[in-house]
Amino acid sequence: MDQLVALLGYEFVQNAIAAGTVIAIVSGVVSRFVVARNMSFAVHALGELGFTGAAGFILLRLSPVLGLLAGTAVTAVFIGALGVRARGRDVVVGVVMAFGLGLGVLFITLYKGYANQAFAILFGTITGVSRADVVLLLAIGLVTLVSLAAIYRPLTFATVDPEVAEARGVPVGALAVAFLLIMAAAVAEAIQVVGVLLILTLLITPGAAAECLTPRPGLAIIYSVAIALFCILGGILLSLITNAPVSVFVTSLSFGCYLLARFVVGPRRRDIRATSRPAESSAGTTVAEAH
Amino acid sequence: MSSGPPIPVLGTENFYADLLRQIGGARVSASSILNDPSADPHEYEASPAAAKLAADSKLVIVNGIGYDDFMQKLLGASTKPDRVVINVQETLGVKDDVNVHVWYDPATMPKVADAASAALARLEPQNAAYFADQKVKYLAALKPVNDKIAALHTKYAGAPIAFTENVAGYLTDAIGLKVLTPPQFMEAIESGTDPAPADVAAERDLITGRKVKALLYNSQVTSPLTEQIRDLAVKSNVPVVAVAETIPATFKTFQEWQLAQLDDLEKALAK
Repeated sequence: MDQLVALLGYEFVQNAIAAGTVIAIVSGVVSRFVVARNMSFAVHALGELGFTGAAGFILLRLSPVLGLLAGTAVTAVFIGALGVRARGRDVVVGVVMAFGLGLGVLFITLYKGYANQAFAILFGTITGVSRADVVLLLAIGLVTLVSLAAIYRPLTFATVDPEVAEARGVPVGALAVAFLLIMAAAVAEAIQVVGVLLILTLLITPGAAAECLTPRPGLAIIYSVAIALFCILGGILLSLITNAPVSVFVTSLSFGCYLLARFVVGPRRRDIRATSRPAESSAGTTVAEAH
Repeated sequence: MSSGPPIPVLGTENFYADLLRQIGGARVSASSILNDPSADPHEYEASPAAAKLAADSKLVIVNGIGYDDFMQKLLGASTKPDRVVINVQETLGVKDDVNVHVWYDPATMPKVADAASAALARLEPQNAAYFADQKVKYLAALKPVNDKIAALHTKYAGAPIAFTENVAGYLTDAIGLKVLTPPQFMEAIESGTDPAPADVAAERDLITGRKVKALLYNSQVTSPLTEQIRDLAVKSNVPVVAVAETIPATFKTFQEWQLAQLDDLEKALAK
């Protein structure tokens, strides 16, 4: 405990907590849509292909960070353009990701220097967040949330019932691309800070757990944010106490939350309400494809 | 020498921490972050303890050239205007695309020693003479290593060898050994990509055809392919010399470690 109190006085710990809070709020909100729209695999692809972008920019002697953003944005556009509908989208993601990773390997092979800069970008460390990083995260986080708020109603409609939404004239395709670009920004920004592993955990698991708890979209977002905050702040604290890496605890806590929501809390709520909507019966299966 | 609490100093890799320990002597308490010889230094998530070391240290040595980029983040996360950072890449004035394992170059450590003793003298001007004295001792301890390199050069310059990865390249250059392994093979292993089949075939032919006197094998960062190459060398009676990226726990100092590896290399070349 003494160690914990001493550590809380350190600038890097305060930065980690601030960055963790911002990332948890953004990813909690985005996660809800990732799960509802069945896009776990796309999150994975965005993370991986950020690497390809970074490798390509390093080869051209440009900033790997801009490369990361370019990589996720281009991937988002490709996935959005080729696979608007949930059906068959995994295939598109797989096809794009495989090609993109192949390109990444080519870039690394062509580059004559020490190519680990490209890999390093995937291993952000939350213990290495600077004040400037926190400000940047906050700015990007706000842009992400404001953009999401702007398309919230049509996006929710298109998510819950794409066919009806399309028939009513909602631009389902444009919304899909817009959401992918929002995801791309969230992934690219947060990856440098927390690494690819935590991105997957934070952008998929809280939304999946929240979906087990409630069928109401608005409430699910609140649950999702709460779970993400609990996982990341709890993970940082446990890491400070035990000195094991943060990602170990964040991934364990969020897995625990998911199991609890899916098998303990979620079913009980459903019993109490004695409802059996089709949307609920499919809850939880959406993460099965995440890897 | 005036006393007081020792200065907290950090060598990111344990051979730089060892240098700080030898030059700072009783006046420093030196720590390192990359010191586990079985761990891959390239894939590393900084623990809170590592971040705390970076935050607390008054003098930090980083290698640069992309080997320890995480340190830039850790140092950036804890602002400390009076902290002195020695970036070995900048000290040597080399570009990003050189072989990253510069500590294997006999010319590197004396330059880092100069920079370290100057930095320590700036932190504690009253002990400047002590640090200068300690530096002379450090350089003297390097002499047997340099003598060994010179002796091997006289005897074995031009001898052909193979690498799995270009870890000890600066050292074998200093000895004058001829590395026959295709450069693309070593680059692929180092960056974790697949080497081209033709390069793998060339590497295997070097060993099965016994065209090299020894295989220098990176014992710290291995892959199924490098293990296969090592096993092939054992089977083909080509001596295998293990080289590590950081100082293994069995050695007390950088000099002791380098000398032991040179002894192993000498035995292999003598076969």
